[in-house]
Amino acid sequence: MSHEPENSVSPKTIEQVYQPMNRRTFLKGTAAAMVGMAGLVAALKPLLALERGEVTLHDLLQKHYRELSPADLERIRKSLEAKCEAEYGVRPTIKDLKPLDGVGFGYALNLTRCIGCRKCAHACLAENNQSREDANDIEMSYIRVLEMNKGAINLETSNAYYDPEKVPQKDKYYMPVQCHQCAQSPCTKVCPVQATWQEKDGLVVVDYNWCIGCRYCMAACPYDARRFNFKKPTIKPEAINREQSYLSNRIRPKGVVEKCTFCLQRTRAGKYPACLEVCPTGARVFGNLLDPNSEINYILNNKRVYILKEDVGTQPRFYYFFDK
Amino acid sequence: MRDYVTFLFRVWRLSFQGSWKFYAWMTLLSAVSLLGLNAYAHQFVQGLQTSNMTNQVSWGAYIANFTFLVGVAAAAVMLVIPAYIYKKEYMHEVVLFGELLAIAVIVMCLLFVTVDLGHPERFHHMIPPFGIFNFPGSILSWDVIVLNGYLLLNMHIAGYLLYCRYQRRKPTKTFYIPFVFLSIVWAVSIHTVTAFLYVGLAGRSYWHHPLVPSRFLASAFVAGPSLMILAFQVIRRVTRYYIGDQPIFTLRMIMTVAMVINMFLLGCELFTEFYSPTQHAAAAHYLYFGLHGHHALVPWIWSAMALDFVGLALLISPLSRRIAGLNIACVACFIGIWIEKGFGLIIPGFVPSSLGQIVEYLPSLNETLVCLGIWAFGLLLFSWMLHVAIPIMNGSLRAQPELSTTNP
Amino acid sequence: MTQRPPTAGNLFVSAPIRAGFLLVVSAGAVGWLMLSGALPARAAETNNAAISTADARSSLPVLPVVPRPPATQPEAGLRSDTHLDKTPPRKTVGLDLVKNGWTYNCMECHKLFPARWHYDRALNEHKDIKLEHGNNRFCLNCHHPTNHNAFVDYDGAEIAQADVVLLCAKCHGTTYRDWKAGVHGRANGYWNSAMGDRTRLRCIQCHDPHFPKFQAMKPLPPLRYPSRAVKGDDEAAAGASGGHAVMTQPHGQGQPDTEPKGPTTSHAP
Repeated sequence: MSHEPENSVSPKTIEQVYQPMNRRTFLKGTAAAMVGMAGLVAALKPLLALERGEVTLHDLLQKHYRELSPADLERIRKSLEAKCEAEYGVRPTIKDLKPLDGVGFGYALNLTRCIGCRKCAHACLAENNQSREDANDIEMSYIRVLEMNKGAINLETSNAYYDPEKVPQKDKYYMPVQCHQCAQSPCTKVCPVQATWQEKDGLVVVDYNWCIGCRYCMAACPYDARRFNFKKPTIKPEAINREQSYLSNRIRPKGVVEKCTFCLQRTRAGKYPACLEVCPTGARVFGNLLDPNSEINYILNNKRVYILKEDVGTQPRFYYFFDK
Repeated sequence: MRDYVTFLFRVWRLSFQGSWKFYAWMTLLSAVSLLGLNAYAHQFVQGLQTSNMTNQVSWGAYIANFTFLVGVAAAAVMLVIPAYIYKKEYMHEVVLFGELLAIAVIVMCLLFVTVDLGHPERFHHMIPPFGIFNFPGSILSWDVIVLNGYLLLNMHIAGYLLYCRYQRRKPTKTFYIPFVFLSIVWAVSIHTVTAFLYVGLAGRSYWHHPLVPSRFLASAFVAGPSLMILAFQVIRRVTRYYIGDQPIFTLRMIMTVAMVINMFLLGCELFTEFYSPTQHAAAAHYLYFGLHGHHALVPWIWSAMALDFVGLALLISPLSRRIAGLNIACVACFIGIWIEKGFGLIIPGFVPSSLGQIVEYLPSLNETLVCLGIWAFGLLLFSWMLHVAIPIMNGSLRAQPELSTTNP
Repeated sequence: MTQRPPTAGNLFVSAPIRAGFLLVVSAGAVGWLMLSGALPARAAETNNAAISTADARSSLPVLPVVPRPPATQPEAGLRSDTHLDKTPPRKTVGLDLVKNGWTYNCMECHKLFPARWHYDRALNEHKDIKLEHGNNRFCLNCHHPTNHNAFVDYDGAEIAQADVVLLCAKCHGTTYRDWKAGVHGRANGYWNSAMGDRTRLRCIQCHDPHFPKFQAMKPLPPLRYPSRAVKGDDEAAAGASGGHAVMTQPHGQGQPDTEPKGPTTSHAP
């Protein structure tokens, strides 16, 4: 079948089909428009609940962290401090610590020693100001401690929700997992706006004021190391760590991704990360990969090191090792 | 230029004129869209906690719908190829509707991505010079380019052809033929790039699979044509534009071939996943049989399988030579692929999580409303475009109306 | 920290002990045996409180206050990190030197009671020490036979308390090697020595030397399962296979069965 005559020429034009506007149709149209507008306004009514200052022109015009002038950054840090005080009742000090020269961070974890007490996961919260209603709520901790069945390194049968009377359990061992600060980091590669990148010292950081919240990095991460702020962080004033840094533990806005930075606010000041400080068994070893005499290099040279998901090719700066 | 302004004005005026059925239909769609907008406003204020997504399952219904719809948009190419490469005259009568459908669907895709963002107001961070575009590293950047490019291509082609039709002159070939051929490549690229979004992630073994792009295309070329077949029947029934059976049965043939390929690839995938009991098959296990006592998706995927097989059986049998049988096949295939390619692909990518945890996911009410709103808005957009395009196509909206009214 | 010679002056190193000792002198050996059980509790009291008890007790002469010796073991972690729980896992009972702020001055008592190699009967003192440390059977495997404030080396020489690592190194050579390299045990403070001090905890700050294996402890609560996620059939999951239990309820505050919070390395400075 070819052309239907109907399709090529229609006997009537639109103007003949539909009568021109008269008073009656005009009124009807106006009424319909009013109803439509009312519907639109009603639909958008929840926006009234937006907090003041949640979306400001300043925020929208702010440049990427790496393009900010020192003066801009200074101003932004001050305004963030003030904002935190206004919203959470505590005025923090938000520093901007730059990577140290000649430093590349490395972290090693002794699987023989870890007893699965989860002190690291909780210390992470105390240090990094993640959202949490109470002390038990550690959903946003950057560390997941996996209970593994002895005899295999099988993540598929691991359990992150173990809660026995005592750890370690006889037939289990424990594997804490946090950001591996990969040299070939899939998360930074996939970010469409470069809101996350790797710094000179190997730390993968996020500019929370730049992240658009697409969560592609979370999909890309093979270590489940990234957390998303599904809501505005809730945190009690007394639980807030005031020693903060722009790229790490300042309280995040809602709708952005956050992650472990090896406690950048501590480690760039020369201190150990919080998870290491509290590890009761000393299973954690942290240091400078570029210093040949560092503990971390001792481990790489002398211990049997295991890299989680080495087949994915991420080249982590986080190593597991065995003892004895 | 003045003509063009007049044209726009007439189109605008026509947008608000129609039968009572048109009004009712558009009112219904607007109402559902507004419902979705309202749900989205809630989400915007409260954050994505209104969704059921979690740190473990960080993408959900939005991205699932997005993925499916990119395929539907890409399938417009299945009208373009017969029309422009095989020069089937009868396909020229409908190819424009495919392009309009692609426009509406791409808009839906962009909306689905936007509602998935935690900070939609920072969307400009993607657009240089205001933002930083992570190109060519991020596949999402590629996707933004190809989707918007496809949108512009189709808007150009459809807009140009419609305007020529309105002016009752022959379109200048150099003005649109190159774009038509570009759009063929581009259509394949939008779906391939969307597949690469997932395939590129080496950390998720369920997605990291070279078959995914091919299967995406195969299933897209079923879902898209099935929607078009249904749409064409609606058009020829409720508007004054006649579409013969020929385009419909051409599409049926395309669907059949694509569906056979799709099911073949599915079989390959299932064989690979289940023949050797590797850990990589955990996600497939979860999807089809449940894992460690969790099986939220099992009923869905088996419904999808059943629908797919019903669709396939109908398509390859003579039953679908009758319109009624074909319609059933279309509905079955469309829904089946929607489930299988949306939820069936996205969610198991996260379950079990990359550390082996199982956190299940089904969309929340608010999320569902937003999705419904976007679907309604897409339909609204498509209906509006048809409402405007069909009078142009059949000549009742044309330039110099005075002339034609004086000489009926 | 150098080892104090076991002189008479050293007997009165700390006030709580001194209080006990006054009574020992007056009540004789039997009374002392009874008191020794009560000693740990008293040791926790402050100097002033102990003195006032002694004053009230009798007309016995008041001995001069002798300051406690400084800590021989480093502090765990940084003082400024008040938000972090740095408790080591050492779990000890009874005469817990670390726990009760004892002075490590064993010669307070052992001046009078020389230790013997063989214990074939339960004694009143050190009854709660359960020696489960490899094939060590004797106190004097590690403790110095005459100077109980010190440990003993292969040749009978003294190893100061502060150098306890050297004692442990006698058997645990590879562990010592790792400790020295900084990869066994806890390093706290600053990784960058140019920016601050690093503290290395000594063996006995984490391991109870009489029972060096870490005691099992209550883990802190798991990551609470986000309530908005779809709940699987939890019971089925929790019971069976791989334990993919999904936690929906908030958990009680889990406290590890170790010592209370705060630095436990004794000795208020």
